[in-house]
Amino acid sequence: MKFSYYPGCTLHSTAVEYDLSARAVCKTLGIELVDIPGWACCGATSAHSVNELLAYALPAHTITSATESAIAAPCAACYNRLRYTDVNLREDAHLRAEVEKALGRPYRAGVAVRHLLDIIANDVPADEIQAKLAGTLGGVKVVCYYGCLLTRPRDVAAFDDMEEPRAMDRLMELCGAEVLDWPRRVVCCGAAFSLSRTDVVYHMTGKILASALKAGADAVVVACPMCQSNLDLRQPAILKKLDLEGRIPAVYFTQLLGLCMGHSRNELGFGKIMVDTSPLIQKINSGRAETAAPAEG
Amino acid sequence: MARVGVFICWCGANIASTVDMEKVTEAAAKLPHVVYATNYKYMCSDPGQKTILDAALEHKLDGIVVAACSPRMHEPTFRAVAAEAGINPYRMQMANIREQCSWVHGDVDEATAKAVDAVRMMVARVAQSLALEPIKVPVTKRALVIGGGIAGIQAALDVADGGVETILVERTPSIGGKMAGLDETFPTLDCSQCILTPKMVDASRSELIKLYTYCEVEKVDGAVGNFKVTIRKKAKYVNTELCNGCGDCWHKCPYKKIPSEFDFGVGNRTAIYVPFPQAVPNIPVIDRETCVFFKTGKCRACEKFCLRGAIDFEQEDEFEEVEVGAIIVATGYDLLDHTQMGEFRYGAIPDVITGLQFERMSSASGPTEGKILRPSNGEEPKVVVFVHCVGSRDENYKEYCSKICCMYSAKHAVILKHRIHDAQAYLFYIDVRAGGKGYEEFWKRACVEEGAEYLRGRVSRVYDEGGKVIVEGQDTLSGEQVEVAADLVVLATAVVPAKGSEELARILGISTDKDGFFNEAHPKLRPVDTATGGIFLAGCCQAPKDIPESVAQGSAAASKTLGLLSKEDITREPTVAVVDPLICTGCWNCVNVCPFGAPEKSEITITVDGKKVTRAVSNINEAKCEGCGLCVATCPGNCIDQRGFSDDQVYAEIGGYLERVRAAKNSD
Amino acid sequence: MIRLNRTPKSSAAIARMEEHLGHPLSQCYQCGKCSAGCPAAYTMDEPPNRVIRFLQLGLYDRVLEQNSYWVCSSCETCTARCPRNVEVKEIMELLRHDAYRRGLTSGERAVFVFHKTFLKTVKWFGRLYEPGLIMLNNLLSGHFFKDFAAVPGMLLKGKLKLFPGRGADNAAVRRIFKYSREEAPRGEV
Repeated sequence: MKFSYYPGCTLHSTAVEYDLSARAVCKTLGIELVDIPGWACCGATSAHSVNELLAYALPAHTITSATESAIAAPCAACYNRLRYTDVNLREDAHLRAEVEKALGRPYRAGVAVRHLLDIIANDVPADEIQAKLAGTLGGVKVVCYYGCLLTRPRDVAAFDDMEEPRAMDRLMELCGAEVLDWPRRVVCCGAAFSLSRTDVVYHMTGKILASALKAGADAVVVACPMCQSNLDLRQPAILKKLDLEGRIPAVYFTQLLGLCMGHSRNELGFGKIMVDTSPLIQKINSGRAETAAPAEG
Repeated sequence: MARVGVFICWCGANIASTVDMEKVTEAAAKLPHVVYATNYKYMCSDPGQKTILDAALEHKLDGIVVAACSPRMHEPTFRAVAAEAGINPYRMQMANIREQCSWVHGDVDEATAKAVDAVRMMVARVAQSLALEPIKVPVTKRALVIGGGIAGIQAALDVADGGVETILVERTPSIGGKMAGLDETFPTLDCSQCILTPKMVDASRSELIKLYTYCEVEKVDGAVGNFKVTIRKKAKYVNTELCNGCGDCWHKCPYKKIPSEFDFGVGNRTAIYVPFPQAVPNIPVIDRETCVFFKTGKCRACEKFCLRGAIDFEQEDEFEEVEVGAIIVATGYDLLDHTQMGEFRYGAIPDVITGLQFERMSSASGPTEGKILRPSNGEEPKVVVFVHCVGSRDENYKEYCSKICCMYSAKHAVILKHRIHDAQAYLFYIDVRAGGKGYEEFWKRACVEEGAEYLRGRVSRVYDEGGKVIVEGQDTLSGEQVEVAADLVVLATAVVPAKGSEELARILGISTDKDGFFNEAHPKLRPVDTATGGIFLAGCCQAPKDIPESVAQGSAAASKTLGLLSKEDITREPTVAVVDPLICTGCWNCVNVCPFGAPEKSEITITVDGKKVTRAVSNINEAKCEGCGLCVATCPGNCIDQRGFSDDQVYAEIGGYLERVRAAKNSD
Repeated sequence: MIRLNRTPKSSAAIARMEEHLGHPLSQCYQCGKCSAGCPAAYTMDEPPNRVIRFLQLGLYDRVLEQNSYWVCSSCETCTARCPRNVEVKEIMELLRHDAYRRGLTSGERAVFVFHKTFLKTVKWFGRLYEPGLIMLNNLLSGHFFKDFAAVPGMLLKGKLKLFPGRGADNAAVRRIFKYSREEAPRGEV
């Protein structure tokens, strides 16, 4: 499997651990990631907020720059914008002509835009993933948070159920986590307002964190750098405001997969998560030891 | 001693939660005559019925008391069980311990005591009950349909299709009803007349359907299977044998400005008229109230110009008595009179009209030939406001939903757009009720495709100003007051029972609901029956309905009628009055008091002191007796008894209750 | 009091919007499902269904004066769940496009400034440059030290780079921005 890799801006900065872990996991699974030469920001969320042509032209530049027949995008926002662009440019000849004028070159239609979660959960057979696992998550309790842009809308992002997605849940179960049911897997974290209306982020992300804590999870597993940033970076302040005890690390699904595949925490960028992940790691290790103990005995 | 079995039903928790089943069973078992008593969760169920059957055989029962729900619910069920067990069905009695006990009491001890009373009373009664045999009466194989709208026409066609002669009585000069006046119909927009007139013609051509137009039902006697109906044939002043419907008379009639009833005043008619060109039969009538000749004795223009000499000013109303086995009532609806409503200026604004007036304007065969015009000045309206729920869902007028208005208002909006392309429709609604095949899609079409503007809220006030009708309303969706300067306002006024329904209900002996609609026998399970055997309902006389529903109910009533009339005999309850001729003195009080003419004067020859004596006595005609009990109560000599309600039975029942009083006294 | 005139839909802006959406606004039957699930409705002047209702009544300018579209997070919950397939998120975005072009902040200046700053950094660097974005955003919005507390930690964790990254096709991006500004049917950066 070979994909053009579109990390998006955040994976080169605030979500560097997502980039590290995605590359590590893909390597282990034999998924070859080829960088897209000259890729640009997808514009989310500002471009589509304020300028329609910009909203399509920026992703169109990156899609057209891709060298492979399919793009793997780990960021849900990038994924959503690229999908939107591709769907609309294929359907709307007038829009496409406008965008091509902006690009100064023909749009490359027919490149499949895929989210990394979709590729790993749906293209790689479960037994192949299983075969690569060197350890488990030791029954640690997780909730899977998909966020808003990964599964919506139905005709644009179509790889999982819109309201009750399960792709990440399946992967985490495969890794030996106890995946908890919870009601906020697809609600918005308010990422668009992270710098402008932080009160909105507090409100929206606060609901997610409170729900995850209430469910009794040890970690929130995510597949979007914007979500992770809100859940992680602002967590202490939000929980303080909500008067809630405890901390709950937001970790990328690739980090947990990578951990089970035997990659080191350093390789996977665990240290870059602001919320302390060591209690989670301890739980995973003690869980592993418990399940291993009977075999030794 | 009788051998009575008592079967006490829990009715799930309905009875058992308030009445102590075991205590009632114990008490029942100790009663005189009772040889067996038991209880069961659902006595009406298959295993419940089997319990009764088995016990009846095992204990050689000759009487049964089922303590359960109301006999209105399950008496036929348990009578059938009795018959199957070889016990006369009239020796089965139900003690109502649900509606009259568990449902209306909360205290378990008191309810249980009352249930024991009810059982004791019924056991006493059953012990006194005679075996009765149902009375068989031959059925008159002819049906009467009252009302010639779509529901009545459909019912008549279907009954006739089943090979049964049908009399279709219509009080206006033509059949067709309200539907004949409608424009296109929702949700398919097929032309109303195009689909109705063939049915009207079928009805007139059917050999088995006799049309009685311009006629009214005057009197109804008899009962299911054998009704005697008196029909008033209103004078048409036209000899229907001679008239060929050429139209010379109404063209020559000088009095042309009479508001047409059929057009709801949108158009005019003459004094001699057919209500609309496609009328069936195509024969005019002279309206005595507006004819100049009848007023002044001068004119006779119609008579002069009728080449066939069909005008007959000497005609008078005639009465005809017909015998029928079943009656279908399909008298339809009228609209609430909005001119009684102040917020619409009591009808003072000419450009405020009703939905049916709009129909007549938009109908291609109507007075404006399909042109929608402002009544005030005859100009095309560009802004039209349709108001839903005028007098409906309004506790000051009619509490109920008139059901058809949402759909016809949407249809009006669509028609408006089709006829006047640059017109804008506004619809004030509370809810859009569009339950029906293709209905939701239709109002969406009106709103989305045809650009009708829906405003959620009521209209508060309408007034005329500067040649416009200003409509003040609310849009609760935006929370804003809104105002429209309209050219035309169309009110979807409440559907009410047709004028004269109450009088007809009295004639037929059927009941009406709080709003005057005829009552069905059961709101879910017997929607086309009335509580009176042999009288069925179809169409809007029962509740507001649209065309498909009216047609369906017309067919359903026809099917019920055919079922009834397919029998040679009809079985009637044997609970009729019976005279003891030996003590009857022939006072004829019974003859005078009976509303059904059942007591007949007859003679009896008896031997007194060795001599034969012939005496005049009363004799009850079982076929006519309705078992109302009037004669029983009236007879001064106490020589009439009613089977199933004999003095012995009633006194025994009362005695059963008094047992409790006696027991209470003894314990003091 | 709204005086409904004969052709409320004649408003050019609404007609353009309907053309863009591919469905008339009357497609919405005001069930409120969009607002029921909207995570930002709590902070909107009017919830999404009301925004649509005002547009249905032809009150475009009134809608532009409200903050609703600025605080819409484009999460698409509304669009995804709409039983009449109304492009609710799209409506919000079209309103933003127009407001942005006209410079209308409608009480949400911070949001307005953020978008402006964000696109400036993308225009300059081809990709997002967070420290630059934060600084510029704070400069323009007047909240000079907002979010600075988090910066050292992020720098330590290697999550923020001191200098903008390289590698984007800057020429292509600048061309896109130039064209979008000059040729775009609506919207301006």
